[in-house]
Amino acid sequence: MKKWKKCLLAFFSVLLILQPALQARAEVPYKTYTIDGYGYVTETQTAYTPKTTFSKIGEHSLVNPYDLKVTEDGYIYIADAGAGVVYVSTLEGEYVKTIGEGELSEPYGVFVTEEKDVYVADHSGKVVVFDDDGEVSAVYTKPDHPLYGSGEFKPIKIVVNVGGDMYIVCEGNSNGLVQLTPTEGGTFLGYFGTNFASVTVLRMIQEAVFTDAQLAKMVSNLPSTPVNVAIDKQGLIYTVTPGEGLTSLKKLNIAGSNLIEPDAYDGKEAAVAVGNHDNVYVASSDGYIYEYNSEGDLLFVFGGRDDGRFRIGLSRKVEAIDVDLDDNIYVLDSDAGQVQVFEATEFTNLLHKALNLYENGRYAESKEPLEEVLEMNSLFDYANEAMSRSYLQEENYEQALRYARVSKAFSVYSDSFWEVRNAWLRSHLISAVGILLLILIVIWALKKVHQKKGIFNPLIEATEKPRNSGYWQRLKYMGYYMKHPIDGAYGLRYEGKSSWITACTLLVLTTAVYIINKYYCGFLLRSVREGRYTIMNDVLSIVGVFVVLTACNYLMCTINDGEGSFKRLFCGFAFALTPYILFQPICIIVSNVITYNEVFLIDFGQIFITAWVVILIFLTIKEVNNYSVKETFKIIFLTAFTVLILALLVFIIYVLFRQIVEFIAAVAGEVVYRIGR
Amino acid sequence: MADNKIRKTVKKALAAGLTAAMLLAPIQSFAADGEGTDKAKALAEAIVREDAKTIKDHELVAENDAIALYLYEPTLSLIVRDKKTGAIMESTVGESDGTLNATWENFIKSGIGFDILNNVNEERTDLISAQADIDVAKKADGFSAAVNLTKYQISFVLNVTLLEDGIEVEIPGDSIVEEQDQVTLGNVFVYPFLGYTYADERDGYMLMPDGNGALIYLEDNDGRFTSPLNLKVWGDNAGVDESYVLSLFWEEYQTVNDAEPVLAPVFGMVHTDSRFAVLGIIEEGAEDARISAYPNGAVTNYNWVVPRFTLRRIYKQLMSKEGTSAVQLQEAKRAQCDIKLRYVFASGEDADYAGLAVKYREYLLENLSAKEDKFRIRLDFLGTDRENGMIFKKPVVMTTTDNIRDIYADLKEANVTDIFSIYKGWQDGGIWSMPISKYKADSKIGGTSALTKLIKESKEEGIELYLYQDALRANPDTVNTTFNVIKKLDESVYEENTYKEIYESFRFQTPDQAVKKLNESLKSYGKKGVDSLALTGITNHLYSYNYNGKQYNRTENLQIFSEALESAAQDFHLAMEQPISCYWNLADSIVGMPVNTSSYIFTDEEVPFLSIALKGVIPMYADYTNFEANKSEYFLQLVETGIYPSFYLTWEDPVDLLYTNSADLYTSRYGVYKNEIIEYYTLLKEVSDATAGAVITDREKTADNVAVVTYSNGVKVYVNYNEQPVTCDGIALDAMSYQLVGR
Repeated sequence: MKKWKKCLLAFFSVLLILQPALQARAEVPYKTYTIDGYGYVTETQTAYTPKTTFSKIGEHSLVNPYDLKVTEDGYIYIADAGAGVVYVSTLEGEYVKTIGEGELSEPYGVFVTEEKDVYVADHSGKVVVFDDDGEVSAVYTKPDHPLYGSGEFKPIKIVVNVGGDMYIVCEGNSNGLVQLTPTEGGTFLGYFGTNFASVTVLRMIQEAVFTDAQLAKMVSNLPSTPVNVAIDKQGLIYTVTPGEGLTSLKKLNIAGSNLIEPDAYDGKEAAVAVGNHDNVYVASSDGYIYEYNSEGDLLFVFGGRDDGRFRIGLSRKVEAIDVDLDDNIYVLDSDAGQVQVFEATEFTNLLHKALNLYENGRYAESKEPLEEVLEMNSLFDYANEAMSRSYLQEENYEQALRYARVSKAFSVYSDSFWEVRNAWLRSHLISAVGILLLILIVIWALKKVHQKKGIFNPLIEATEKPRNSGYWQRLKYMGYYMKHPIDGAYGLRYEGKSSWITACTLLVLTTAVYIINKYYCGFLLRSVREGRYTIMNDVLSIVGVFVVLTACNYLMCTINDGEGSFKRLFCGFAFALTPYILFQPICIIVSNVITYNEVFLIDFGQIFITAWVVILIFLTIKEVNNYSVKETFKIIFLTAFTVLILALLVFIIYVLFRQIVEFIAAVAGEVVYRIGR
Repeated sequence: MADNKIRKTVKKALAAGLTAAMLLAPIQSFAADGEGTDKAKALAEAIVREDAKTIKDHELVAENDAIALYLYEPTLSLIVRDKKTGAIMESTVGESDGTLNATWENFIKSGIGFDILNNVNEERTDLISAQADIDVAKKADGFSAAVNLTKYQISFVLNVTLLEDGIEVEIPGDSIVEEQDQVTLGNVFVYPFLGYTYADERDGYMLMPDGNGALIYLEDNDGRFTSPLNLKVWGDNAGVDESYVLSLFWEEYQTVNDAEPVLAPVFGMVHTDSRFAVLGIIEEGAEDARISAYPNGAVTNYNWVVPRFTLRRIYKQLMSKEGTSAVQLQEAKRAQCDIKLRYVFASGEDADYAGLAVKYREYLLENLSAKEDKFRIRLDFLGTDRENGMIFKKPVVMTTTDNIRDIYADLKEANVTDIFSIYKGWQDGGIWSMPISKYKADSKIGGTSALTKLIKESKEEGIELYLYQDALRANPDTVNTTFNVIKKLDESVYEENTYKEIYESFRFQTPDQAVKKLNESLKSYGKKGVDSLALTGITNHLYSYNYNGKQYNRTENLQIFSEALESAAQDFHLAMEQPISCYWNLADSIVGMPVNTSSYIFTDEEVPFLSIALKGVIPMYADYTNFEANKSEYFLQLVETGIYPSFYLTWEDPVDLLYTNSADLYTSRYGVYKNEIIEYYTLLKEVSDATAGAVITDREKTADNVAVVTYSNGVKVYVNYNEQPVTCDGIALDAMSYQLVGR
């Protein structure tokens, strides 16, 4: 009897240490995701399970709850705008007291300081401060400072720093957070964490072209207002603004500059909270809950919208989120009038443990929990990246390289590759040089022998015919064309050097080089996701672009006294691609053995190739058509214009065609339906 | 509309009540006393001590030693009385609380309720509102009533028969006559209020067949729910159901897990105060039935659970591809099955979910012979999947036949020998190459002969190795799916979206085609002596569909699949993935048995209803332990329910699967799980050995969160789910641990 007990205890002891309450249901209605190195989500273990839900605080049903704060000593403060009060409850939802009855009209936001002062943002236009006994200790109304401006004062969320300065989110105030200091009954310090208005290209064109009257009619382009705010122990302010992309979550220092860039965002951010491990929680109004580390790397996203499924853990409209000391998350759903509590799973606790160690720079210690995390999910990107950094720190470059590759941690990959390559060079340099020398000697020797005995004569004879064929000769012409484009174009025009088959061969080679470059260039320089291939698209786009451009150019040339035929232009452009075909492969090979330190080599190579190709194309147009430089520029612009028109035409035809198909399908559907009756 | 109004009224009433309660706060203690007397009064009314001839206008029509059946003819209302305890259950509301509109007022007083389809409109009605003409013929063991809903000119026959420990209610399909064109029976609610209670007047719960079993307490919900919990028996109908708008995460990912399918068509109402319980079992007509629980606040202030049978439905016929124009139509054909239900009653000590589960087992064993239920650990393997290559798809090999042999040998050294395995992705083309029509293994896992050899060797070692086969789905990327796949009733081809990148969607084969392919494959297996198959797809999907301009329904579908599985079961060992209850007699084991529920907001407690009924009758294997985030709790649940553990294993690191459709398999490497497998095996085998050959007779959860499971051989399993040590029945239990007593 004793034996199995020990067994079981040993079995779970590690997990149990980390274990909070275990009332949760194992089967949860939502999937949990994390993010991969490319920014795509992948599934992972359930991070948080729904624990409890409460819609009543004692006998008080929540009417229109808008904000909630969880304090370190284990109380929840809920601002209920419908009831006009702030409820205080225990973490289990048991009623403790009511604050602000008769004082508050629309409490939208609440904040509790360490001294237990309760700040309430009242939408009706004031901030009321209550002391621990629920007595009003201060009221702040609209600042009369000239810099505040003429806008209204409608506080909806509030945080307070250690010094007592208030940061207030005001509805409709696009200047940012209102910063008030308590001296002299509330002094306006200025605006904080202002967002910037986005200016699109369209907007710029509109502003340039439209009349004042037209501009006045357009929706004004004001910066968006943050909707929620949180503060951490160091006094850093976190804001969320929906629809702001990479700045939808901001972590602002005292100077108001942003320190974070989330690698995933939602578009409907509604609430933000700071966790116990330098982590940040963001909830979207649709009920998705994001957990980030301090740098904005996404750890988890889970939850979702309850669109008639009636499953726990899904939300209707989230307004606030907070977290307690045991990593339980409290999510306030204003539509359902309830607080949903999620608790961290064993897996999440393990990750938090690793996170704590890792973020505090204890890389070696963090490896053990990280390894456990990876055993439970070998695709967990954050853990892979952390592992790669830990190994890099330990100077175990082979392992660092491996983990960096999986997690797409490019800079770590580059650093460790540098070291691995150095090690390789150190141990292989001498033998490599030796082998190189040996090869050169062998070649030299073979050449000597050949000169004397002619041992390669049969081979030379056998290949003589194809080497002398017209196809091969014309193909060889590409080398000449590359170096002497003006003479080359002359050859095209008057010496019959143009040939469809040669041009097509070059086009095929270009496509092949393009595809190899796209999928097999060095890991650090690759722009496509691994394992994703779109070969047909690649081929079509290369060939398509080439043919369309040539055709458009030809059309323009014919009406502008150009002398080139379509064939000559086609061949000329194909020859103009020669530098790409010849030199890009070198770039590809080099790209596989370089790090970020030498990446300029590739950049330089690319510029060199591109410039060469552009010059060749320019000269081809000029020489084949016998244009002046000015005429050539003109034709290039006309070609671009023609391409634009062509694209428009194709689009219109496509739309019309689709409508016809739709119409025929509808008629057929109708016929089937009538016959069916 | 009407529903909404009622909801609003109820809400208002509740709000008014709440305000009143708040105003009366000072005299709260008095109110609480009053509530107590209300409860006592309600309980007193629910017990009729003497053997009466009439109870509340209901006349005695039949009785036996255990129960007596009373009938009120004008509404066909029943009262069932337990003769031992005197507890009664009513099927209609005598006097309502006055908060309902006329439609509902009549509905709650009527034995049967209906939704009538009039063209494309649906009307809720009942025997009273539809001016039913009822002609009752009494029989020795019940009665037969000929009913004519004169308002709609629809007639049918209702037979109620008293059984030994319950009653049987039947509406024969061929007795239904619909005289008007386009005025037809849509839904039929059979005895919706049987065993109902009002608000929190009574103590007890409703039992719902969600997952393993879910309870909804009969307590005051304060208007928390505004709609009922609807569970579709035997899962969604691919041909018609689009019950909610999908809201996708980042407009791309489906983030909500599917609800557990309803495997068994059962439901229950338990009155714990009067110790009287009823279990409803749908015997016929389950294909188109759903079970709805209405806790108070959802429409009415009553708690009731009802089987709803859909005979015909209204569907949308798309007129254009984009779905911009559509017309509504009535289904052409009525579901041609009978409606037949058995209500089994339990009283006294048995009047709880465990007692009902035992009753359900007894019912099942009437038609099902118990299988050998021996402990085995389930170790499933993934053979190969496919990822995109430069031009063609290329194989990603995870576990070869040789790997499996090595794993078995490795585990044998640790004395892990009782193994049940399912080999997934063994077939040529990888796991998503469907349907399988012949026995051809992927060359990357070793090829057909290597697989055959492995199966033979495993058998000699006593290991059961099953080949996984989805006999329903067809993958448009690996086979031609232009023909022989189903269209929905609205004539669009059914596509099951995978939300993955390599194979984006699958289609369902027509039942005939599915069976044809299955039989072809069976023939091919037979030739090589392969006789163990793990089937999925057809084991838990039934659908209405259109094919070649004709509509087919789930009843026809069920018949075809039943026949095919029956013939397959003669020559093959069949493991079935989450099979619906009518295939249980054909399965050697049930795979993917739910341990929990789907976590509906209605659910107050999760109970192992199905596993109590099936433990010792048929081996059950759980969902994979790999993906459980709270492993220690899950382990204890396996101890408690007697469901065997499962692992999904690969030899290679699942990182390789990143670019395949199996990308959600994020942890599976054998090396990682070896120790856990050995631990689970050793510990759970000990529990299973102690209870071998026995069935569960009782299960309860004590106030301090300890589950106590009693087996028929006297062994008791105590499971402590607390993180603190607890003493229960004098037995000290460590935190998160269990004890076997009485070995």
